[in-house]
Amino acid sequence: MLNNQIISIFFRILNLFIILILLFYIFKKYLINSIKNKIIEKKEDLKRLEEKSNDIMNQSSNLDKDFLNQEQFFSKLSFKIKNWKVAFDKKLYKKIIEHELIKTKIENNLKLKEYSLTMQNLKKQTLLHGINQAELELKKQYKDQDSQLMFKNNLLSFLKNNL
Amino acid sequence: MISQEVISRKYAVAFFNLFQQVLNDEVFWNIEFAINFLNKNPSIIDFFHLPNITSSSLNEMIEILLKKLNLPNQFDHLLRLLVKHKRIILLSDVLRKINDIFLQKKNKMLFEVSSSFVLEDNEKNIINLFLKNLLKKNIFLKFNIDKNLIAGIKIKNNNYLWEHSIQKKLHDLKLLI
Repeated sequence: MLNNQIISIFFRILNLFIILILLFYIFKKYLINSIKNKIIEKKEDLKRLEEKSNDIMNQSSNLDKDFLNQEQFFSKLSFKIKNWKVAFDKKLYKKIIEHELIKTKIENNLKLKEYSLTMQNLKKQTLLHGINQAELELKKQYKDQDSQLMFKNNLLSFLKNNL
Repeated sequence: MISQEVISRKYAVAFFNLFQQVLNDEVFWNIEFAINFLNKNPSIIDFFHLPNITSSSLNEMIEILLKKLNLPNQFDHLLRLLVKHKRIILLSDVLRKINDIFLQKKNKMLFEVSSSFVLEDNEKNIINLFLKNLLKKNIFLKFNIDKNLIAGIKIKNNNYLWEHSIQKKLHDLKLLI
């Protein structure tokens, strides 16, 4: 009985041992290369990914640099725009002042011209009135025959002297 | 279209060529009187435009007109011709042109003298001499009184104007303003 059991155990162990050897053989014969290849592939993948990661890191670093540059450029541009706006505002203010001065000058000139024209018209009217009054007075004066005679004699003397 | 002036001149030249021997200073003044008379009484010319005018009425009217205007009989031809040509309306213009031609041929000039006072004959002579010396031509003068001058004298014709009057001085003053 005991012997049977020992024999059985022995064979069981032997079987196990054979199976293991068989498994090892199969593993060595068929699977190891495939696994090796897989490992190599995985390593290559890993390497590629590392390279990719490095590239992305580089790109990120470049982008950071670009961003920094852009920020500096924007800052400079902003400064320039501020300066330009100040200069433009100054010019605009100067123009407005000049415009106001010209406007005032034109208004003053117009007022002066208007005044001058009014004075001229007034002068003209006064002179016309004076002449009309003089005409009335002269008509009255020369209704007198003596005045007419004096005028006639003077005139004829002038004609005689120019014969 | 020929202007009235040209037509009038043609009649005047024709008349002058035919009857220049009847034209003298007296006729000249009569023509001047006739021109004034016709200008002041334009309705006289209207008579010749009446539609049913008989030849006897026409003759009578021409005779009266010539008598009234103291014009020689030779003007009868001119009047009849103008009536015949339906251009009697040009009579005053034709008479003016006849006098113009007469003045030109006789080297004379006609001036109208307006004065604010009456001029005596010797004073008229002074004016005549003054113009004669100035223009080196014989002068005819037509006088009238113009109170608008206030005081002074105005001598003018178609080409010349000489004025010495208060009215002109006042006018010049007004122009200066």
